[in-house]
Amino acid sequence: MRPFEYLTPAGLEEALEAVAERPEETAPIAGGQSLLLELKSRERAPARLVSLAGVEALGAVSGGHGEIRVGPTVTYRAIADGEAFAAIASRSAVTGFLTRVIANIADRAVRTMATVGGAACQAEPAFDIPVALTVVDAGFEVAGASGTRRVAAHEFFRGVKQTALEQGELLSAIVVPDPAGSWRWGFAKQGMRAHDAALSSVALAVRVDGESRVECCRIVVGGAVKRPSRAYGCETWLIGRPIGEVEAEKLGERLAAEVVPELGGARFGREYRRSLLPALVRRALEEARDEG
Amino acid sequence: MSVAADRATGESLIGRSLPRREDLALLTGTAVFVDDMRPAGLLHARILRSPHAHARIRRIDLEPARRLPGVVDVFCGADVERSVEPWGDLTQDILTGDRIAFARDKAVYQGQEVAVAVAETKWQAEDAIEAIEVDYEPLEPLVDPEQAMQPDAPVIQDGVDYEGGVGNAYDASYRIRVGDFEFARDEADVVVRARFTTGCSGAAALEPHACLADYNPSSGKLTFHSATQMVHPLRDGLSKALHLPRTQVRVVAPFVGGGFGSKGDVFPWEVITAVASIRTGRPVRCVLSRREVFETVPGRGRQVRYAELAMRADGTITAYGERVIFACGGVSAWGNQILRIGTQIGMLPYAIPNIHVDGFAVHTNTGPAGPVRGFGVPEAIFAKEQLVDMAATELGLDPVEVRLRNVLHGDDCPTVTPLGQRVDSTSIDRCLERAAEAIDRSEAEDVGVGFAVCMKYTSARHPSLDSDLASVRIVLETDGTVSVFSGDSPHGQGHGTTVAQVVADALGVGVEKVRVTSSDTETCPFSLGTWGSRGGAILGTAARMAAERVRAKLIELAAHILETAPEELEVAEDRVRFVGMPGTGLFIQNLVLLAAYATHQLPEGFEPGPIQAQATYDTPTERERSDGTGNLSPTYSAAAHAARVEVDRETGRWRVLDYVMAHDTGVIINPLIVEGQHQGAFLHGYAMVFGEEVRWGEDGAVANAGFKEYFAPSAADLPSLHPTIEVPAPSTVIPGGQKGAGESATAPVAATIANALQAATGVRFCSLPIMPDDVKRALVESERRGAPIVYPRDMPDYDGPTEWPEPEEFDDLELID
Amino acid sequence: MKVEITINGRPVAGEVDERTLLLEFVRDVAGLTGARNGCLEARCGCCSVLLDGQVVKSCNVLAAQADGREVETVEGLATGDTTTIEDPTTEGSVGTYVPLSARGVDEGSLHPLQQAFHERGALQCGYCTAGMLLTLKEFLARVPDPTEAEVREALRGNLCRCTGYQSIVDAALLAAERMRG
Ligand SMILES: Cc1cc2nc3c(=O)[nH]c(=O)nc-3n(C[C@H](O)[C@H](O)[C@H](O)COP(=O)(O)OP(=O)(O)OC[C@H]3O[C@@H](n4cnc5c(N)ncnc54)[C@H](O)[C@@H]3O)c2cc1C
Ligand code: FES
Ligand code: FES
Repeated sequence: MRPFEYLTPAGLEEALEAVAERPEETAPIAGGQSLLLELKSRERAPARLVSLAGVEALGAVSGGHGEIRVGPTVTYRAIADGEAFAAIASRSAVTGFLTRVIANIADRAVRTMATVGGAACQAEPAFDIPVALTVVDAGFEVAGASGTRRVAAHEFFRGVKQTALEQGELLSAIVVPDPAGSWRWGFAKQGMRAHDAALSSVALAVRVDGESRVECCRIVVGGAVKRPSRAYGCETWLIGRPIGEVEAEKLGERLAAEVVPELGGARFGREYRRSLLPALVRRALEEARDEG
Repeated sequence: MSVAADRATGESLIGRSLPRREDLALLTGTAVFVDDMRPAGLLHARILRSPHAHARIRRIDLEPARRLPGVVDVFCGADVERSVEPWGDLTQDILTGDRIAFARDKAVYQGQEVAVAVAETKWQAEDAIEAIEVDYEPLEPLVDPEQAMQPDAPVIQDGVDYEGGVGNAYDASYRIRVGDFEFARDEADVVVRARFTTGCSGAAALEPHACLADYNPSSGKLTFHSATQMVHPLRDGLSKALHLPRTQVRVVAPFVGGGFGSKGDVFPWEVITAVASIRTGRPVRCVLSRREVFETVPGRGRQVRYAELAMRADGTITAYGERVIFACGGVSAWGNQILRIGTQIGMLPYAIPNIHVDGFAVHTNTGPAGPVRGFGVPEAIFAKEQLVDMAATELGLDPVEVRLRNVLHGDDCPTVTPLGQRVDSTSIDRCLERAAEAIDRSEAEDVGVGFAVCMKYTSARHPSLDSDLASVRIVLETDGTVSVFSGDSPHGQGHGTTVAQVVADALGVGVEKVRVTSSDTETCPFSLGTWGSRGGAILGTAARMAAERVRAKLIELAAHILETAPEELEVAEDRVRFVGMPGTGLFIQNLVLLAAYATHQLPEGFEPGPIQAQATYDTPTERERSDGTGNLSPTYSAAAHAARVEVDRETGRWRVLDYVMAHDTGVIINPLIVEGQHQGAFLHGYAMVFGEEVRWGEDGAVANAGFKEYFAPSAADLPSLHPTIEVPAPSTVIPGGQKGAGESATAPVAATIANALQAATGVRFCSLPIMPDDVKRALVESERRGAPIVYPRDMPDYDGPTEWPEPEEFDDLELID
Repeated sequence: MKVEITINGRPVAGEVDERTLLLEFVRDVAGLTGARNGCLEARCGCCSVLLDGQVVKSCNVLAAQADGREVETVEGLATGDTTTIEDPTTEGSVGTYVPLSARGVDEGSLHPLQQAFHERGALQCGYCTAGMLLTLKEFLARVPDPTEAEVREALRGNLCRCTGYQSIVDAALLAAERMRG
């Protein structure tokens, strides 16, 4: 690590000021789980860190009007342990989905510190949060000197470690639609070891009509691609089919044909990552059917 | 719990699962490792390492670093040219001269030492090495060992002359010539062959390598703490490299966080840290980062084997041939020793009558290869045990039956194999039967069962290191407690408990009376170190011998005082007593007091003063002969493993459903500790298949120098293990009957799982590790062909050599002895 | 900057460089060296400590992030006082064994996890042990009656290179049983 100044603003205004003052030399720090790795390896060397941990407004969760506002500094642990969403509609299917995804990220010690907003801003392809937030069609509130704007998930995630955030801006809230009705979600990933990030991942959201036919859906692929990618072709194919009778194998074949993996790691190549997609979409579909 | 109380019942301490005496300090966090020491005035060293795998070093400018705050010293190879000499020849016969502190004119692997900065804080040292300017001229790196062996390949160590070397094959002289290989091969009913490759899995001990040098300028003495597996060879290596008399160098290993072979050497950073302390007159510590560990600490090294096995229709193995190429990295650490010992021991547990091996230890522009749990045996077993299955399949024979036909049988022991290995006792035949009974062999979809057997040396006389000894000194203290100074350097093996058990047993005292000190050249007698499954058998024997010498003195003294014959007396209950009569005789404490404080009461000729003895056990083993034969080990432990493995065809992932280990470990001193050794050894074998592998890109850069992409498995990635089935066949050479415990469970794992995977999928996996993408690719290809394949050879994009190398002619190289 | 952290119930304050990791604060400022550096990349778990009762990898947390909070380290597990061994230079590794009583700890004052680790041989070199113990302590508080598979999952961020894990898993199950009473 190189020397830096460590600031602990208490409010959002103050935090924004601190970040905006010397934006190119400043990094906000939420849980630090990604940032500190980059600082220790000297990949990055900001001259000042602005801690968001003390900014209460950034750690709040609230619900109502068909949406849930998740503060970016809400930790994985608070979500996995059911604390974060305790106050709001407890039976919400979308919170159940996010809880399932988050409880299985990395390991317990990382989850204690890691935050949803940190993972979103870090925007690494292997991370689960960008994929999950895309499939739930989250909106991202970005606060800057000139006010707050709202960005849709597909605009927020721009590429490997690239988001719509401009220097000096902060992610101030993640807005997750909490649609009434029969939306169901599923997520599946494959890494090398139990605690490894995904080589490939698939998230799926479906809404079914009274006859359990798919009315509307989103399928999002992660891991193998630079940013969460919608599989529009598969989505179209799925519409109108009875959810209980979808041939997972066919869907899998289509997904593997539609998605072009962009990333191969030091070890696992693109073809292998692509070959995982059928199994993953089947598992995601099963979860959506079973867990709702 | 007082273990002494039980002594009244006469129960032996051998074979008791005493919880370890080392544990408390470790469990409460108070144990001191090198990084935990806090000497006043401590400086921190960081080493600048070559970013290139192969490069000329044109110029090094240290000045910018010297000017930085907190920096106390910065130096590189040119600065120590006269004060530090190359080393390595103490433990290896090839007079290497390629073990050097810093790369001078040329760096030969990524991560080789180029310069060092010594500063008041770690951060300042880190800043300082960043400021050093080095002008490199990159050269073409040779990563592939077979390419490095091509006649036109540039020679990596161009300045060193290796006896028995040809080009980059710095040891090209390894041969086994037993029987008439070619004749036997021609006569056989079936000959199977394959090219096997094994990856460079690292030891990845959790404590990164660390040392702390403390040179006292007024006395001229260097006290050197290191996370090492061998304090005495390190002391001798350091002294030699630094031109210091051995009296002026003391090496101590405090608690050491695992080694598995990787901490058994004299390393450049150790020499550099010592020099830094001498130059600054202050204590200096160097702790490697995890990245440095992966780049520069020796891993297993990659091996390529062109192997073939010949079998008669009845399943008898008649011949075995191999051409082995071992990628040893840029410098020669223990590479050629591993090649030789691993290959020779790897022929067991069969008495193969005709063997032909040509082996080459080859320099490549990669990190050095060295010992990692198993010392080359797992690599050899991976090839041979798969060939056994391949031949059995061709002949329609059962893999267990074929092995039972070929393994050495306990009833025939002692026996000498055609390779000259004298196997004193074994139960490998029964181990195999027990393993086969214990595993579920029923058929299920995508499930396969595999077997493999091995023997493992119990310490070994290296071809080049003509010594296989351990020493122990025992001093009885005047309160009846027992100080034991043990020469070896444990780092998790529990010597403090095992050795105490042996000594307490021999002296008839409670274990809590015995205190074992080790890993200190100043207090402990010379020993080679802790590796090669030597602790229980070799060190244990030295401890027993020393204890018996002390016991003889006690009995002599007691017989004099009690006016009786020595034969009437025995030791038990902390006393010397009349045989079989509890409560009689004299307390040991009183005898020791007498010898120290009432010397006129001693019998004539009895040496007054502390009652003590030192003993050294050097194994009755042979050096390797020029045809590769010889009995390198005093006794051989054995293992038969069986695995039931399931393959997920969709993702290519495999999972061990059940794993059985049946072992011959001879007489076991502490079953709790030995079980831990087996289970830990299993992990290192499993890791070789699962995905542990240091990978170098074509540019010679390590692609995965961190636990993020170096796939060390966690508890969630490993199968549950049953207690090991022990079928003890006590050694008849080692006086207490012990056999080596630390590595026998590593050797068969990769072959066992590969055989099970073949049974599950029809694919013969010839390359380690066997990762999900390999399996997936192989399954797709064999489906496409509608036939079982050999992976990777039968793959469309296979780019390995297709020509089968001719066996080397018998030349006169090997007559050099 | 000034950082104050309550470690094992005792406030420890230090004027430290901003870059100080929680691991370094605990080891160098508080002098408690039970938490160890095995990778500094949040992958091995040797540095695990509890921060406000929750397990964290202290190599991936700044001391500044823990300012004003409570930390528990392995030294806080046993109820008796444990003293650091002062002069390692005169001791070999196995020689540093000191009987329980001499440290103000007897077997009864060990935490059930420590006791079970000892009995089951769940440590060899002991480098991973502190992290294993704290990870399991936090886990068993949440899941008092786990299955073997759950224990293995709970340990997925902690590497051990010596034991092959089975003895650690067994010790965790034994301790859980005893802690349930
Ligand atoms: C060992 C390990 C294993 C992991 N495994 C997985 C895995 O399997 N799957 C997975 O999905 N993830 C994994 N992760 C990543 C983890 O999800 C992220 O590191 C974590 O969520 C990041 O959150 P944080 O609060 O710690 O972010 P920080 O590290 O604090 O911040 C990350 C980045 O975002 C910026 N930032 C943070 N908050 C804001 C904000 N409000 N506005 C603007 N910028 C901001 C920071 O400046 C920094 O650049 C792993 C991490 C570790 C250390
Ligand atoms: S040192 Fe912190 S996880 Fe390895
Ligand atoms: S006991 Fe050595 S790493 Fe776990």
